[in-house]
This record gives sequence, structure tokens and C-alpha cells, in this order.
Amino acid sequence: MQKSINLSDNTSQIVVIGASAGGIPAIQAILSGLPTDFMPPIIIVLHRLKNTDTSLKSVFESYTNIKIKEADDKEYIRPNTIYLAPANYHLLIEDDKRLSLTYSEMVNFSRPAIDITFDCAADVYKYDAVGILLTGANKDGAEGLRAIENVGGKVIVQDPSEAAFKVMPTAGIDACKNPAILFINEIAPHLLEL
Amino acid sequence: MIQNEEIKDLFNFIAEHYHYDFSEYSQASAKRRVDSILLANKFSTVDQLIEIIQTPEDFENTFLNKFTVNVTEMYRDPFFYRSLKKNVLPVLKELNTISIWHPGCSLGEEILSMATLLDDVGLLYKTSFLGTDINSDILAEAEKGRVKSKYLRDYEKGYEAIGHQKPFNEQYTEEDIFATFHKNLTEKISYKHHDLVKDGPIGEFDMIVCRNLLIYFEPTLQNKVFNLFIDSLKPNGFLALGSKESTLFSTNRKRFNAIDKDAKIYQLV
Repeated sequence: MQKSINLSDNTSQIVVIGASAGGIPAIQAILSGLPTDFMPPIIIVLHRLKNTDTSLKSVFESYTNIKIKEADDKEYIRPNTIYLAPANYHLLIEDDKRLSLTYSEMVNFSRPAIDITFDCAADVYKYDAVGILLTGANKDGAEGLRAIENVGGKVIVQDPSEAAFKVMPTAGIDACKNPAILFINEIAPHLLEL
Repeated sequence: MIQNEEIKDLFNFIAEHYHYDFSEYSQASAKRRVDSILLANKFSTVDQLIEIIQTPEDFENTFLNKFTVNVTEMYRDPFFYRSLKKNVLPVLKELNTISIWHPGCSLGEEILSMATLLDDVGLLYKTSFLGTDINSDILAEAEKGRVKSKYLRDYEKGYEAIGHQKPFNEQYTEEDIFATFHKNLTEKISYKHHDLVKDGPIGEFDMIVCRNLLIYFEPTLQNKVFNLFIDSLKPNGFLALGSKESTLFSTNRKRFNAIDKDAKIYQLV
């Protein structure tokens, strides 16, 4: 595995990854490129079919040695940990960097909605927020990505030319002024240099 | 996003005028709710909202009805109801009467779900349900005992996943927009205004069903509510929480024995 450079020591940052259709292999590829000592917490918001039973944890844990868990309500965000937004809840971030769940209205026909977690990351982490928007067949996440960019955070979008579904990354690119447009295999190395 | 100071001003005004204390509600969610109220009314500041909610009626219409989350559905998490059938109903069956409290009941979908389940296993005749909420308009709607017809197909899937003897469509009469549940179910349900933040016990119950409400409260408030639940349960009474909630933030959590950790069903010890 690669040795991490700056980001691994910078625990004030947070990385939020949003994806929908086609997202599982894309996220697996990013996680497998990150070193075990990657310090910033990572939140994954992946659209899923309602009432799917398979645990996302089992889908991702063989691709990384970083601790991975489903987000618990009101738990403190810890470094070197990957949090999964649970099915059917929106994942929010409190000012003091705790996770909060809500069962409020769907946003962009989605719960969890990527926009909501991106928005919260922008609000709480400001320029320390990193938003990554991947493959997907709807436009959830684009507004939130812009919110992160507006507060000086970093925004990364999967290159639509290789995305399984282009609608989501294309919307992300359209919403932002200066997103980093990267192939999946470039995203982990890029994170290590941020 | 609005600032913490603005939220504080708003909640102070509300506490003073309407005696609702939202200070221990989860801020991340509260901020988003207030933000969307401002947006929907085209207000740019919280002060404009405060100006509008000077009468109780305007407070209910413009603020309270939109601030509380009223997203509920019937038969949410079929595994929860299956666990109830297996682990709780056999115990309740032995009682002479069964009383169940649904705090934060919103539109009452969970109560109707419980009512059809208890009907199906032959326990409804000795059961009474109390639904409480802080939102009077929502309670008035819940009183009607109806759901939107367009959701029936989804609800039927949950109903069948739980496993019932009676066909779902024998539980209600479907009209145009709404389907109204039959009187044998709804006559067992009463609704009352009750605020978990400041009101005391409202009775003694064999079971409390409070799913996906505590996530909107800070741990300090969750702890107070757990104490209220302890005071409101009969000995060995049951408590059901939402699938992502737990008794972790109760200083008396040892008194809640988890009888199904995944379904989040506890029994008071």
C-alpha cells in the first residue's frame, strides 16, 4: 500500500463520498487505493433500494483495512474511520462533529440524500470538507457539492466518460466552478495529496 | 444555512410565548427544518419568521406543522413487527387488558399498524392505544383513522411481509383519495396533546412504541425521556425504539433489557 503524505496527519478534514447506481464497484476501487493509516474520516452516502437487507459493510470491508461501520446516531466522528449512511435515514453532522440521523422527507427521491450530507459537511467543516461525487442516474449531490465548493472545500467528480451512469457526475460538474474531474483510479492518489 | 444565534433567538421566543422548549433538540436537524421554513415562506431572516408567528394559529401553521417531522408509514421495518409477534404478543396475551402508548405518534400510521396486527392475533378487543404528539393539527388528522390510498400498495407489501391471516383490504374502506380504517380498529385509539420535553407521565402502559423520535433529541433530552418512560411503564412493560435508536444515552439503561437487539425491543426490569 502507498504511504500517505499530508492528509493522513490532518484530522480536521472530512471526506464525503456520494454515489448512486453503479456506485459499489467505484467506491470499492477508491477504498482499495487508500492506505490503512488514512486519517481523515470518510462518510459514504450511497443510494440503495428501499428495505435492502444486505449490509453495505460486508460489501466494502474486504477492500480496506480502515475501520468501517454503519453510522450510529449522535456518535462522534473519529479519524481513520469509514462511516456508512444507513438505509432509509438522512445522515447529518452536528456542529461538534457528531453524526445525526433523521427520518425526514426524501430529498431528490432519496433517503439518504447525498445533498444533505454534503451540505452538512460544508456547514461544519467548511474548507476542510472534501466532497466526491461518483456514478449515478439522478442529480442528487450536485447542489451539495456546490455548497462545499462555496465554502472553500475541495470537490472531486468522477469523469463521466468512465462512469457507469453519467447523470450524477455530469450534474456535479455543471454545478461547480472548478471541480477536479478524475478517473476512479486517480481519486485515492489525489486524496493523498490534498 | 442559518446561524446558531438566530436559532437561539427563535427558540427563546417560542419558549417564552408558546412554552415549547426546543433547546435540546438535535441542532443539525432543527437548523435544516427552520431553513426550509424560511425558504418556503421566502423569508431571508429568522426575525421575519418571528414577526409572523405572533399568534398561536400562525405559530402552528407556519412553524410547528413544518418543524416537526411527520414522515411515517405503516408496517415500517416488517422485522420489527415479526419480532413483536414472536417475543411480545405472547406475553401481552396473558394480560386482562393491554395498554399501548405511542408518543410522537404523528399521523398515527404506526398505531394503525399495531391495531391491525393485534386484531389479526385476536387481542384487539382488550387493547387500548394512546397516541400523543405536540402537534394538534396532526393529531386532528390522525383522529380520522385514514391513510392516502396511493400508499396502500406499499403498505400491503409490509403487511404481507409481517404475515397476517386477514387480507389487508378487509381492514379499511377505500374511497377516492383516502382509505379509512374500520371502526373496530379506530375505536380503540385515542389521541391527546402531550409534550415529552415538559409533560409528566400520562398513564401506566404495558408497552411504549416510540420509533424514530429520539433521533431528533440530544442525548441529555433522550435521557430525560427514558426516565419518563420508566415512570410510564408497568412492571415488565415493553419499550420499542427505531431501528437506529438505542437506550445508550439513558443513565438507567440497565433497567431496559434488550429482548431483541435488532428490532430494538426492550423490557423494563
